[in-house]
Amino acid sequence: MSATILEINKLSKKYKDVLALDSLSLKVEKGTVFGLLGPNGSGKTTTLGILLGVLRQSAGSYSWFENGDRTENRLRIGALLETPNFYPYLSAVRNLEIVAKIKKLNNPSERIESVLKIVNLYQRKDSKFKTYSLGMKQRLAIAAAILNDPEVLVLDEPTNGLDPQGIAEIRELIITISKEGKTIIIASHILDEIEKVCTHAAILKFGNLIRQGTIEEIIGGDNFVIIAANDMALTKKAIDENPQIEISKTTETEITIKVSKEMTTEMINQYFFDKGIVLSKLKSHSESLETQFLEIIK
Amino acid sequence: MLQLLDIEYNKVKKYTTFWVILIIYATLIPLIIWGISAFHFGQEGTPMYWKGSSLFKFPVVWNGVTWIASWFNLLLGILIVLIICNDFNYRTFKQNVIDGLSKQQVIASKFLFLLALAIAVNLYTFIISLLFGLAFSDGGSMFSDIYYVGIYFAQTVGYFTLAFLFSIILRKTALAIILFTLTIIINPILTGTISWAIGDNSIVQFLPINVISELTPFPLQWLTNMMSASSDPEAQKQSMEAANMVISQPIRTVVATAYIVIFVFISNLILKKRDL
Repeated sequence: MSATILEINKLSKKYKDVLALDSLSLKVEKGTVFGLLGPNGSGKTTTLGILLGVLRQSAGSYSWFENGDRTENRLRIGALLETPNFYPYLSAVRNLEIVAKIKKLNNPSERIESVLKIVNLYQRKDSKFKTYSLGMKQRLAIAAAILNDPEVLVLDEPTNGLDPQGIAEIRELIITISKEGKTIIIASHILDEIEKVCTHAAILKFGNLIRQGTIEEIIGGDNFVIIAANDMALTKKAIDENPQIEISKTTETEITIKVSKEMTTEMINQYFFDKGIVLSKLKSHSESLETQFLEIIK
Repeated sequence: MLQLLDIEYNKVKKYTTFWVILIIYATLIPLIIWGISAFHFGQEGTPMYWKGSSLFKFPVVWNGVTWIASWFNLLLGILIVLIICNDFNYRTFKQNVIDGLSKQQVIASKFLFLLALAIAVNLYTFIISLLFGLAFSDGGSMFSDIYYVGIYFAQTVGYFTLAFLFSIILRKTALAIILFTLTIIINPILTGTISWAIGDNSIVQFLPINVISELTPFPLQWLTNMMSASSDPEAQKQSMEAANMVISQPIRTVVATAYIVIFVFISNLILKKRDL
């Protein structure tokens, strides 16, 4: 069953003389992991701020669960926007108790303990929020977002301030939650993050929607391969001679080339070898979304 | 409504500063009353005999205690600024909305909490008045002036909503405290200057701070009672009229309530129009 979780219709936000969001329209279907991509200042957080009721849109509308922009919709959403916001003089448990009261959860103590275990804060559950490190604060914010087992999880830069282990844990958590059929909306500029967990994405730039679709559609039918050889000039010449190969990015020591999906690394190696070039490096580029993204927002 | 109060109570339950300020307030009032009551002046039995504890006899005690308690409304106003600006500083107003409250509920929860605090403060003042009244009275009608407790309630809510408005406008604790304190300090100067400039002192009586602060006036009745032996009834009557100035107490209460409604209305309007 496919249902629309979120529909955005020509949403705009103007701050004094800056148009932060320009007539954005989007649709998020149930069960998808939707990535909102864009460089800093592209309107990601502004969009989420409007959707979560803290900013007023200048024009346009949005609808959660096909139920408009009613306040009670937010009781079905778990969200983390920008920074973790808690009472510094209260412990993790007491902060979550306040969230539980707002979310109208009955007997939340067990659930509070279990989410604190999920984000690895259980040992520090009675410490005051102000004593937490940045990573711990971020974890508590994630704990608060999943507290009411929401139908939709909205995460703005969820891995901000986390160490590599923390990032991996959060990624696992997102994948686990999405497998339960929950919808997740993630805003991030860390493309690796989006590529690893998202099924769909939209790319924003200066408040405009640049591209939207499934991750495959956005990455497209192209593969990115990094190559290097002793004679870089000759290599470039060989690339220019082959219409199937395109230069995406050049540095002093290596070239990133764009080739169609059908072209394997073996075929690429063979081609250059035939041209009399021995490649010293031939590596398929794992972060293809990043490369594609940089191309798109150029 | 109970949900909102419960949320607010949980925010301050473990907030030390909140309780310290309340304890200071709750300790200072009986201490000062005790200090005044121990004080006396002149020779007993002569018309000039002045005894502090007479301020706390029924029914003057209701005016006396609320008048003394009103000095510390500044302290409680600062407390209100603190708990409202905290929610801006910690961005928790924003988070409360993200988590599922509406902006209206956020402002309503603060207003309800402020009312609850005002009720608690008035209950405390009532008990203090009653205890001191019982301790110092030698008869006299116990509850004839008890309306002062109700008026004191209007006064605390008046100061609280003003602090509330300043906090919503400024959002910064220090700025809001300074503005709130300055407003109260500058008010007499402003009142004096305006009435001197326009040569009339009736209009200035309607300035918000004057309306609110004069709800618990200096207990003149007590003074005239003490002087009754030496002064004639006509002079007494005149001084009573001077004390009431232009606004009678019921009208003053109505005007104060109107100011409270205006303060809350503006706060709500600002919050509604503004991004969190």
